[in-house]
Order: sequence, then structure tokens, then C-alpha cells
Amino acid sequence: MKKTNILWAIVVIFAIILAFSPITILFLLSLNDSPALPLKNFPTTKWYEALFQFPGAMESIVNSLMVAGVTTLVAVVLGICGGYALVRTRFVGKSFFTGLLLMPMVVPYIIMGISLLSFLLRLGMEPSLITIIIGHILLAIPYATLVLTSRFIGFNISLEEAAMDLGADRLTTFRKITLPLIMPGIITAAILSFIISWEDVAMAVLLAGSQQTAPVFMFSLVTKLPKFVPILTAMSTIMFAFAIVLAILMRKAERFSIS
Amino acid sequence: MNPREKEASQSPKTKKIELRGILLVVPTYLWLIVTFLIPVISVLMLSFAELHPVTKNIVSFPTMNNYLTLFTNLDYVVVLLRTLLLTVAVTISSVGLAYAVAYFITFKILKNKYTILLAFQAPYIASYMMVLLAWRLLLGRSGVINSLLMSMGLTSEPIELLGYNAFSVWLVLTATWFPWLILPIFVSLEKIDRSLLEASQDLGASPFTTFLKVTFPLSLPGVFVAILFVFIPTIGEFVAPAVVGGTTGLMFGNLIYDFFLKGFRWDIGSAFAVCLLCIVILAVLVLFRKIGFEKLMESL
Repeated sequence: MKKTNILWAIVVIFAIILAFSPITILFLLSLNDSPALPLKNFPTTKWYEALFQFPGAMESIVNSLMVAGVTTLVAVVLGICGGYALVRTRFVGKSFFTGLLLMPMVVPYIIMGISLLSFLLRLGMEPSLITIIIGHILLAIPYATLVLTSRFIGFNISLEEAAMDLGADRLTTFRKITLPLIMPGIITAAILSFIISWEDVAMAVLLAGSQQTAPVFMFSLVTKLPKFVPILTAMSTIMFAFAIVLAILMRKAERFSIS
Repeated sequence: MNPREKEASQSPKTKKIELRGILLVVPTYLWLIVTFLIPVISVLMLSFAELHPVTKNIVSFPTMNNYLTLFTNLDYVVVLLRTLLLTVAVTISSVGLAYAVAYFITFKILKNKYTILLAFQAPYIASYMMVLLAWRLLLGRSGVINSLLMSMGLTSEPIELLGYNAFSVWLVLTATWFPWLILPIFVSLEKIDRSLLEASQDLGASPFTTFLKVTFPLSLPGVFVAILFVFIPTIGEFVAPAVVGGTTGLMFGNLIYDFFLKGFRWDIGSAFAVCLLCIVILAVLVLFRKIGFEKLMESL
């Protein structure tokens, strides 16, 4: 019994170290004189100062926010349409649609990315933030639609019928009855879409032009200008703080929509 | 047919509802067809064509030359084999580690199970790229780990294994993926009826036999979901190898990336992409057959 307990402790501690130590060390290094341990001249803000002066660094964070915002908006609207249609209506090719909806979830990003890239280039589009947004919406649609589908399934249709029997037109019914009832689903779908876009590096690297999102900026700095990598410790820390604030706000929105 | 569909089909307004359904689903449908289906099919076609390197006009079609390029060049075959090997290794190690942690949380922890589950996902609030960046700084010949070991006098030379190579790619992918795999395995472990485990022990089975004959087979749905979760992104991975792979850790995705974004040989790149897609489809089919589509969706 004792022996197995020790074994468990080793495995779990190993897992915790593997999962948490890289990020923790990244934060420490952002305040350190050089990207190495042991700490020296700690804490210093020199990497943060260098980051703010580095061309394109802060813009890329703003770009990321913009891309994620537009992606969320479009993916949620498409998700509501798709989810509503899947649950409430019958249309030709429904099972084909369901299959098509699930497929992007099992195809590697590299394949979707290069397919979309060569297709858009052939159409004459230049790689830009717009192409990244188009790709991110594709990534987010399956998740947004599935979340909203499950919301529509758990929805009592007689509430809508009651509203219409009492004289409300279709639009009023949607605004006053349907929308509030599916709100938690909308918020969850929005959070998922936002995270998918904010996190994504593979699709964005393939579709980016001269305007970059934050992960693309980090990727190109690592692969093309490795000596500037230390400023990315500061950038990561800022983005992490950002993500935590966003996560708290979203959590609040989720609670608010349910109550 | 679910009750709601039945309702729709029995309603006198069926015709109208169908029209509304089509109108509603058109935007989502179109988006999937235009940005996913058509591009993937055109890559499939391109893989059998030869393009003019500059104008991108089709020179000859159909041709198998692109596939011949892949399978006759030893360098490409080596990268393909390395990718398969790495993917299998990452899948085994990350699912194994996630299984251990999930088992620990399910059976050894009594309180706050969900808080612990959530905590394991916390590092990923930031982004995948950030975790990769952290590993980039940790690893490397003069990275944090090596320099720390040397300053402590544990080694005089940097440890080559912790440089940028295939081993690093395996380590980093395992470390980044296993926290995501804990949840599906935990769900299927938690679902197991505890009286079955008691029955097995009452009948004289040792804890290990109970695990092997009862617990593990019952948790397989979660394990298959976890395998699917890690296998698909790993086999197409090109970001992690570019960040921590150095020259010996490059994967198949990097070849595709280079053909499309650096070499501008879309035709050859397409053939490579189609090969990758075939491997993924094969793996997904095998997994689906092993467990059944219904059950898989249930545990998602």
C-alpha cells in the first residue's frame, strides 16, 4: 500500500511539473535580466520596455482582438441559424449537412489551412487579417453550432407557441422569448469561438499576410529573428493577464445570462 | 427521428417550415462548402496535376508525378516515417499520462475533483504558442535547463538530448496535450458503476486484475476519444517542430508548409497533404469501428 502511494505521488507531481512549470518560468524570465536561470538582477522591466518599442508587437495584440471579435460575431450568428435549422426544421440534405459540419473537427489544421490559402489566392485575395478571419470562422462554426443545437434541443417549443397565440409576431417572439432562452448557449458559443480564434497559431500562420495576429507575430519572431525571443516573455505575460481578465468577464456574462 | 422532427413533419405548415429551414441553413452551409469542401476537393485535384511553377496554370492532368516525387525521394519518406513514429509516441505517452492523472483524480481524491480538473487546464488560458515559447526557452543547448544544470555543476557539457530535436518535439507535444486528455478519460472512469469493482474484488481478483479486466475495458470510450483528440492535431503538426524541432525534428506538416509557402509548388504540396489526409481518415475509421460512432459522440 505504501509503495503504490509513493508511485502515485511521483506520477502526479511529474504531471503537475510538466503542465505548470513552463508557464511559471516564462513569467519569471520576463522579469529577469537574461533568459536563463538562476535569476539575475531580478526584477527588471527591460523586456517590457523593449517590447513596447518593438515594431508590430502591440499592434499584433490589437489585431488578435479584432480577428477574435469578428470571428465570434459571425460564428455565433451562423451557429444560431445552423442550430435552429438542425433542430426545428426539415430540409433536403440534412445528414450531409451534419457530416459536413463535423468534418472540420477531424481534419488537421495544416490541410484546411493550405487548401483555403490556395483557394483564396486563386480567387485573387491577398493574405491579410480578412483571410485569417475567414479561416477562424471555419474553425469555430462546428463548435458554435453544436453548442446551440444542444440548447435548441432542450428548449420548450410551447413557450414560443404561447407567445404567438397571444398575438406576438415572429420577430417579437424571437426577441422576447427565443433569444433570452438560448442566451446561455450563445454566450458559451461566443466564448468557445473567441478562444479558438485567440489561441490559434497554425491556421493564422498559413493565412497571414503582412498584418499579424499575436501568435503569428510570436511564431515569426521565433523562426526568423531568434535573438529577439526574450521580449516575447514580456508579451506572453501581458497576453496571459489579458486572457485572465477576459475569462473573468466571460464567466460573469455566463452567470448573468443564466440567472 | 426525434420528437421535434416528428412535430415538424405532422404540422400543416410543413412546406413553409421547410423553406424557412433551407433559408436559415444556407449561410452556414455555404460557408462550410466554400471555405472547406471546395478548397479540400481542389487540393485533391491539384495533387494529380502539374502546375507551371510561376503562372500556376495546369500543365498536365492527370499525372501521378507528385506522388512519385514523395515516394521516390528518401528524404521525404524518412520525414513521413518520423512523423508517424512521433505521432504514435506522443499519442501513447500523452494518453498514458492523462490516464494516470484521471485515474488518480477519480479514485484517490474525494473532494474538489472538478476544481483539480479545471486547474489542469489553467495554463492554456493563454495560448498554445505561449506554451511552445516557454519550452523553446527551457530547451536548447544553452537553454534554461541546460544552463541551470551546468551552473549547478551537474554536467560539464550541455545535454544534447535537451537541445532542439525530435526528442524535444515528443516531450513538448506530450506536455502540451496530456492536460486536455484528462477530462474525457475522467468522464468515462467516473461513469463506471462502483459495485462492479467491488464485485470483482469480492470474487477474489487482485486490484491489478480488477483494473485490467473491469476498469480499463469500461473506460475505453474515453481513451478512444482522447486518442482522437491528440492524434489528429499531432500528425498535422508543423508549429511545434518549427519552434523546438531544430533540423532533425521536422515533421510532415513542415514539408507541406514549405511547399506551399516557400517553394510555391502547390502540386507537390497537395499530394503530400492528400497522403496526410488519407492517414487521418484511416485512423478515424479504425477508431470509429472499434467503438461505434454513437458511443463516441455520447462521450464527447
